[in-house]
Amino acid sequence: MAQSDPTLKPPQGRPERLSALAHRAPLSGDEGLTMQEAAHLGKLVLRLDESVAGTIVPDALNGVHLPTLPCCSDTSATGTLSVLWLGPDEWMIVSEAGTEQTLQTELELQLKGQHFQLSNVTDYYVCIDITGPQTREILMNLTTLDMHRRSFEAGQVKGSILGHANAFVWQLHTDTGATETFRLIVRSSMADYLWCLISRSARLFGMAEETPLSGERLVI
Amino acid sequence: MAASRQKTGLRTQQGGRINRDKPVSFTFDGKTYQGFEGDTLASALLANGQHMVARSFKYHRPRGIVAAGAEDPAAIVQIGPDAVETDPNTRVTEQEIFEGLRASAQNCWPSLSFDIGIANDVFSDFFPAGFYYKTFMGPPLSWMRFEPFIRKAAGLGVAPTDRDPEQYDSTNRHADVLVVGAGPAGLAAAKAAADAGARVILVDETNAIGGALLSEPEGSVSLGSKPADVAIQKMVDELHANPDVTVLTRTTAFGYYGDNFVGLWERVTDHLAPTDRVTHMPRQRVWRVRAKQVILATGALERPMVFDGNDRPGIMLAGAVRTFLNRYGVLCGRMAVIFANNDSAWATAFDLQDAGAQIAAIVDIRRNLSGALLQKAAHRGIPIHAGSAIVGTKGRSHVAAAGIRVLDASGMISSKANWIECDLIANSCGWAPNVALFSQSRGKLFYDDDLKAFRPGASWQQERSVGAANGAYDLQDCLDEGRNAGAAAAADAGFKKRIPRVLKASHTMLVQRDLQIMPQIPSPKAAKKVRAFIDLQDDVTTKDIKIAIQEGLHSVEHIKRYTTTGMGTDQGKIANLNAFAFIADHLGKSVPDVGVTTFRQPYKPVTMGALAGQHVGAHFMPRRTTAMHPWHKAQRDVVFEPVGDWLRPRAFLREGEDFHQAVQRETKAARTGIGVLDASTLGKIDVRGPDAREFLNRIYTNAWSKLAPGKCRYGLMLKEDGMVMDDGVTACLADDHFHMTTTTGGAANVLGHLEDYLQTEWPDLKVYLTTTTEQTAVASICGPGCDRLVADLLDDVDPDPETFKFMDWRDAHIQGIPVRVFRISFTGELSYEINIDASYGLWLWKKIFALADSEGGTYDITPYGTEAMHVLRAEKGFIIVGQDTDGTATPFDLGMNWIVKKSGDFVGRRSLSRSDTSRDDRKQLVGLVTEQPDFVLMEGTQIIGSKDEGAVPVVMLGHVTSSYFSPNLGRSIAMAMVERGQGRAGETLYASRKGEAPMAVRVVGTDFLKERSDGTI
Repeated sequence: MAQSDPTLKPPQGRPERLSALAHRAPLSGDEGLTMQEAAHLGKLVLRLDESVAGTIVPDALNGVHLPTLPCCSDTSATGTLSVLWLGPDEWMIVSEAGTEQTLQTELELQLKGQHFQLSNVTDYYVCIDITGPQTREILMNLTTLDMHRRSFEAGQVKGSILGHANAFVWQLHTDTGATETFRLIVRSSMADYLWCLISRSARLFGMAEETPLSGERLVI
Repeated sequence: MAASRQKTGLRTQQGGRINRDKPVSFTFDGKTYQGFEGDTLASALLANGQHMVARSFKYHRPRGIVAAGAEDPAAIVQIGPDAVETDPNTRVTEQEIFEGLRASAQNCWPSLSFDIGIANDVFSDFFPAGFYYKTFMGPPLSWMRFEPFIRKAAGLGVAPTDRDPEQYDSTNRHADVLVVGAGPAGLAAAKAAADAGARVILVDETNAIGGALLSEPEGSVSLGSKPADVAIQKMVDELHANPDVTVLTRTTAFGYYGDNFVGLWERVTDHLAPTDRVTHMPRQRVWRVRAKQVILATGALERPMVFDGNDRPGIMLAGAVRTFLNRYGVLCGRMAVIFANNDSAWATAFDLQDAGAQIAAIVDIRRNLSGALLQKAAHRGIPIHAGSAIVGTKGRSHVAAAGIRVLDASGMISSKANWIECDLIANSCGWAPNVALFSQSRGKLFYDDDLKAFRPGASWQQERSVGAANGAYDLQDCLDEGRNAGAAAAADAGFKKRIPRVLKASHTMLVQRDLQIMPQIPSPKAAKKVRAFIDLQDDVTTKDIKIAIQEGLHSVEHIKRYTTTGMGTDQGKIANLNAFAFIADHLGKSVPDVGVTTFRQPYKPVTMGALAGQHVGAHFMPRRTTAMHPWHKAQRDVVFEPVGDWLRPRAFLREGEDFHQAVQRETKAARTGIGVLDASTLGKIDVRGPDAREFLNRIYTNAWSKLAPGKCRYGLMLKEDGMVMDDGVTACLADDHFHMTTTTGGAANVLGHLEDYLQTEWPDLKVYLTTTTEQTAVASICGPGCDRLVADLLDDVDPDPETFKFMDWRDAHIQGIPVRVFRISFTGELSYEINIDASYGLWLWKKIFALADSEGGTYDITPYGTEAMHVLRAEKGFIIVGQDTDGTATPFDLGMNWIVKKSGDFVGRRSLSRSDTSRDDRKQLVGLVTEQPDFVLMEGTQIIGSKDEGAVPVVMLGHVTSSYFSPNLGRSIAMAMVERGQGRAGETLYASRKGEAPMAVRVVGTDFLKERSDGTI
């Protein structure tokens, strides 16, 4: 076994946790453009009937309502928990790293009696944060969503296909005057592809292009 | 002859939108030329007296520059420094020059001036219209005989020899109003829409904004109170200052598709010298625009006259001559003859004369000319030949003289030819709206009898045509139409209606006035000798079209295909209308009755690289990998296999092993030692709700009502046609909660299938589905005694197979990290699948292998890949959906009757009793063993019933679906779909082999392990 890669050394002591983009260092470009992974954020998918969704505010959600307006999200006052509208009966709850299991247990209790589904997808998806004045233009290179500021406002989240990867595009709530940040939520297995594709699409703005890991032998 | 044809001094002393302070040198066909910044290759070559730039496609006749823009038919060259970075079929009228540009003539050998292919011209009588088709229908083998020669001679330009080293981008935009064409109409439209607050994209194909105004002499037009150039610049500055406006030059709207989706092709760096190209800039960019409203201001295209000898270099469109003069400061000739049927071409004569050229004659086929026009020309001393026509030309690679004759009242020739020496014939048959994009948008054309051309009628999409594209040739009309359309489009896009400011134009421009069309100018020559070209790129003459009509082709679409008129890289932009008119004339019909050929996307050829954009090379496709992938990849010699989008290890080769040996070792190890497989890629779907059981009952062929929490069950899913769609193990987590697994490749389809049924067929069922495929990484541990290894891993659960039974699952922990362990098996061997949150997947994997004896542990652990997995499951007779099934197998065909419940409905049930699915001679899955135990059948091998193949057609009984050498059984095994297979146990059949006698095979059950213990194999 090749021992050069520290992540491949035999495990010692405590369990080791690795995110799908652990091998990628943050990238930057012109005018404060940056791209980095927001690793291990807690992610739960909640499915619940639309008609009850508006009336339920589980304590576990820190006062955050389940948004019923399409493509909207709501974030707690502390900024640590957000609920994203993914569909008429589907939400994603994004929380601080390491909180998803407790949150899941509490929500399960508080939703008892309802017809619902709560799935932990923390490791299923990876969050890629892009910040900078050119973010919208970079994303326009990859998505057919209307990224104009009138059409894509802070807090909105929309599903799209970027290249060949499905992803949710979410504009984080930011303080007024602060540079916009878009968070892409993408399948772990597609994260390296999307990361590199964004770096390629941001070449114009001074970001260094990275190429996906490859080199596997496919031919017998 | 033609002493006036000089190679130098054709650049005017002043004027033109070129930068005379910046000389640029470039080469064409190996010779170095000088031009100025702002020149196209065409204008720079013309300034050097070089009209001939190419040879035609079929006859290799000299081809010169005819037009000044994208409509030029045949002035196409090869651009680029070498064989890799080369672009064929580049129009010289569009390529801007830069320092060091290298262009070469194409379609000629050995050189432009001496080309062997010209022999085709001499023998042109043998290559008439429909020549290719005739070789198909001619004597037997005629096409075979001609094809090699045709292939050699055909094709335009040379393709690059290697992959394109350039970078391309593609991007998407939404717009309220997209304006195509930045002439006066388009500019006014964009301004009005932008002023209303709309998001506007304004594109122009050329390097500058202004359109036809750029072809007017400087200072001759004013807009408002300012000279046109100043007014345009002011408007452009205002548009640029608006953050919601995008102005793109060097950008072609190449395709107008449904829902106002328009493709734009921007040439970003093609006009720059390589040293000026910034590395991160793409060479070209495709913009995919979704516009609420589209305004087409694509202008009008001039139509050439069709007369004998009209294809010589130096015969140009009158409007183009004016453009070269006024936009680029180039005289296209010193001794010009103007040949026209309308007033606008007369402006060319006046401008040329003002710039110092001599006008040998204005030949106008009309008899009734306006007095003012005649007076102006007479005042300038220009000889006028009214009611006359050019009936022939002279000159080898350049026009040297024009033969002029008077036409009588019936349009026939009535005088002797008057030959006038000239080095330029500027001709015009009037202007036709450029309706290509309008037609692509599915808009209806109508024939305007005043214009003698088609123009936009009713729009199909949210679209407006304005200006010359709409048949408005007067400048003020263009400005007004543009302005009104821009304001209306913005209002329709949801912006407040405002009345835009009127822009008044003052000018002396000549518009075409009344036209007189002659589909073909008569010639004194015998009809056979006349060569009046309609399509200059494809070498289609009026004679070719006559032949097509004579041979019974009367539809314009048929004639196009037979003669190739309007085909090629120019798509007959200036040829089509002449072709339609000629066909109409010849058939005695009206032009609208003949109609038009279909305008299709793209408007002009777009580089493949630009369409692909950034999605090439390493970014072409995602390669999905599992959490354990870094470990796999770091192994000494591992071969991977793409499975769906996934990359899975196929075999881990040890030193000195080949692939086959590695697979044999791994397969053996999984039944003798401990084998470990990365099974993370299996699809996983969480199924939850009070009706989850009922849902599974309907989706799977078997019953799920009694599956207790803690238990798993294998299920088979059918499509409505009764055919097996997917399979997998589903675990009951709680009474209303299940964890379903699917095949790796089928995961997405299965989820779609399930959601489809829930949402459309059974909305009453209370069930939710969520994909959880990548949430967990899965290590599948297999082999006798592997429970001891699992026991060492788990903190809190005893995997003893006596208590942790087959098809049970348990929640457990490994070093405090929660895992879910399933006792399920795809090998028939004792097996545990450990599911862990994917971020711990690599850690778990390393932890397992740290227990291997090779790492100082106590277990004989072998990682195995997908190929060994295939052999292992085949040994046990487990099917792989998609390998042993092909969408035509029912569960009964697979011998899986046990999985189909007797009562209760499920998707596909009714199809199982159709006469076709219940007949007894269907192909059924069986096991096959070869007579020669070491012979491995090829997958796909045909199974036949006799020792020798017999006479064709041989009766095929079936085919091999899976075939391996089994190291655990010490012989080859195969699975096959065979007609009535289930009743053939013990029967000997034969496997067909290429070039060898069929191999005898015996039909057995599919569970080869059982067959061995039963002693049958």
